Amino acid sequence: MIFRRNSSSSNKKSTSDSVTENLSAETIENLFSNMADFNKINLNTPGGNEYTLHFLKSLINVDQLNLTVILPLLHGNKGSVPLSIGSIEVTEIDTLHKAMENLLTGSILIEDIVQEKYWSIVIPKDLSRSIDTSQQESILYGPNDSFVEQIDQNITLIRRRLPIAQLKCKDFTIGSMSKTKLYLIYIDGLVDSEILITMEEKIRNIDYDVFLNTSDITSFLDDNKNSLFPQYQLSDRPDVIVSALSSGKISLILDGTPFVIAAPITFFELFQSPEDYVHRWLVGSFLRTIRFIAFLITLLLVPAYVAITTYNYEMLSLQSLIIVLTYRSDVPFNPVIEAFLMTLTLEILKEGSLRMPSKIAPSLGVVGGIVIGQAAIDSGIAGPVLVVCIAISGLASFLVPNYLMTNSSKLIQFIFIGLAGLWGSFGIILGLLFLGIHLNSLTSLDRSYIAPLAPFYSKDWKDIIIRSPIQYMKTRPEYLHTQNKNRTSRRKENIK
Amino acid sequence: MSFLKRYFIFTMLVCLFLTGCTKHRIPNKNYIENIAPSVLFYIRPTDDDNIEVTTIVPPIKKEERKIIKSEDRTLTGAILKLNANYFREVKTGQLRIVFIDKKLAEQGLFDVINTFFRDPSISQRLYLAVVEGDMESFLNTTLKENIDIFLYEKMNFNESQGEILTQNLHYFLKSYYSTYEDPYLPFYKIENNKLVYSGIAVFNNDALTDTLTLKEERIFRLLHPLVKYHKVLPITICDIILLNTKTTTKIDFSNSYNDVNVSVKLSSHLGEYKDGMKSDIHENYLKLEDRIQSSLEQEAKELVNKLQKANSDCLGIGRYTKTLTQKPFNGDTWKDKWSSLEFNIQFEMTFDDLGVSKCTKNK
Repeated sequence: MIFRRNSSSSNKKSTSDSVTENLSAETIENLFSNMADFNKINLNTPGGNEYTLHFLKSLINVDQLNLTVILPLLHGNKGSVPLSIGSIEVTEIDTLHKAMENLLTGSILIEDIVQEKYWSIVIPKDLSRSIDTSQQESILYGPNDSFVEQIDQNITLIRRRLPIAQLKCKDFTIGSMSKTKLYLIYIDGLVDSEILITMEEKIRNIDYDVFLNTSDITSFLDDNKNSLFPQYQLSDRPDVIVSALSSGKISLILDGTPFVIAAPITFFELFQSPEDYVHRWLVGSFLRTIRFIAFLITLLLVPAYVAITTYNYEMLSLQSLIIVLTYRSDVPFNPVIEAFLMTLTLEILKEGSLRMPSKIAPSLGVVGGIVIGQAAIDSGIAGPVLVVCIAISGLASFLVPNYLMTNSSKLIQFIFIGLAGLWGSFGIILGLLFLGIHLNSLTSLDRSYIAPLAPFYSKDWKDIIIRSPIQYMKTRPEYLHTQNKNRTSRRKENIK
Repeated sequence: MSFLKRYFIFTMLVCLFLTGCTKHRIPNKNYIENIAPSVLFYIRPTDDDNIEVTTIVPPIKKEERKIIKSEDRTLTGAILKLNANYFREVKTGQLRIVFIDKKLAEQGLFDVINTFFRDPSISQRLYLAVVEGDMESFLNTTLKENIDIFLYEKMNFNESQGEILTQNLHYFLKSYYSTYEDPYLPFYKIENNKLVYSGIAVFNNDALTDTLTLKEERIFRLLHPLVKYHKVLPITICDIILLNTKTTTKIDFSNSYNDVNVSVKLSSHLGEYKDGMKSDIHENYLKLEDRIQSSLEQEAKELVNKLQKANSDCLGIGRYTKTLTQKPFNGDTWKDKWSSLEFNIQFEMTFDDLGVSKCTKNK
């Protein structure tokens, strides 16, 4: 069939049409027909009131329903539902659409048959797990709690660290089907209003049916969708998010996922870890410098091997050349294919150990790595120098605290290997130039991605490659254009 | 899609401009397993006025090493002809040492040096040396000992801290192009099929004019204004070894630039003294200092006379005629002046450390 068959108009008539109908017990029952978890309870109170309770058993807290709704309704005789149930907020519902939305998000719908009114009460089922240690950004010294899937619990974790009235939280509902709750968090009087407006506008423009993960939103918020670099920071650590908020950034919390967005970010911030601030400042700076070097090693070590063995043999020292030459003479492939094959093998191993059951993954990863690496050398598929290069670059890629960045860097490494195979060291330089140009063109919430470098903000360099003592970092990042630039409380304009 | 299309067209355009539509613009592929990077060249003139290049291939340990050579009117031609003698392509990108035959050095080195200088793949840290004797047979006998790599490592070590003088392409050319100095190279001889360091080959412009013996080489170093430290300095006349010698050289010209005063201050430790057991050095050290001074002055005068005869200012004395505002000699005028200069050389010797006093066993 060349043309797609249009679905017939009769098929199109679905829930969307029925929600326009009038709100009645019958329409609700029709709407929720064939739903095993849809329940209906009729209550006849001694005071002569008649109520019908509609709810989805899977979404509401049944214990709370008995205690806070059914009991007060049976024993109370105040005349109306809001008066009978005093402890929880009761909302009047007048449309079928609202009734359906509330029922599907963990509310019960109370039909007052005598007064012919509908009321909604939110009593969602508490499905949260306990607060656990962050698996993605674990640190040795420092707070160990992490966000969970429950949005309110996540807000609590932030509010406990920032007990100030200026911490504002705007709520949005996104996803035409998932109706996912999204909180936009910021510190009022600190955050640049321009960033806030831009973010709100971006959120309002989101149009999609289901949002299950934070990364689903980021693809809608990205300034450059085709870039390999993450333009928003994802973290499940409350301390990271609080630190971002306090420096004048904004944060987005999506219901159902433990990963919270912080924005805007810069390229250099992706190399920062909360542990930098735990160590002595010299050690912290040293570790951060190593991370930058490791990033360059990830990008350039294997391509440099390809460039040297394919074109620029004169760049290597004589002793190293003899070693490479001795082993290369046994390898049947040319260096580009050799490097591609081995890098790909490492990626397969890495991806495999990620998907494997967690108990066997590390041992199988190690065994697989050693066995495959050794066998590749013994059989002459790859030279030991390349295997060492690949192992070092593979390890180096994990030094970047941001996992999204780790994977991006691996992809960039492949591009660089291709360039090195095409044009040697000239190709690598060309790739670096393009990378520089691309990074310069990127923005995160309209703020430059390589901010303290271009545009140049001299004060921000205190916390980029060198992590200077916290006492010296008296000002907030300049690129954020915060309303209050000073972190010290001696300044009058600071938040109290 | 328009974004991807735009980027694709842009990338294609960049590739087009970079490669210039032709294969030859792309750098040549040098798969290292297919090439034979040479480490050492020995260049000599042939009887029919050609240049002969000898090298050792390959540097891979697994394959049998052998010597290949070829001759041509030009150096590049000879290097290219090397490929005809070997199944891998001989490459110059890892060339580290060039031994030049004394006869070729006497004819003038400019063409050879210029070829190396203009090849971008050859490092400026290429060691140059002049050799006299049957170098080819020496290479043949030491082939299996990786002599090329061994010699490179030896020179590399001596460049920074050794007692054997080394010179690389960069410094040779720097002296060659300077108006105020002449180049020099280390001089080796093949004696009993062994490579022996024998002193310095001094050049006038690009042609070798004389060679200095090992004894003269030590005085040359002492006089050289830029060499300020000597780990070991043997004074043969009184069987003394000086250690950790620091020198300060002062060069003053008279107003007419006809006379030059060179004063060298030495301060050193007494290392070894053959007569130390017989006489108490602590009482006689002043006499010893005088003896060393007069001996060094005599040797220095002889050396300078030799250099003047060879018309080669490889000590770089001419540099000291320049001041911040004045540059009295231009072009070849310094060369004319050099051979007629009157030298007044003075050494001032002091011992920093005389070591232990009289041996207690003799008492």
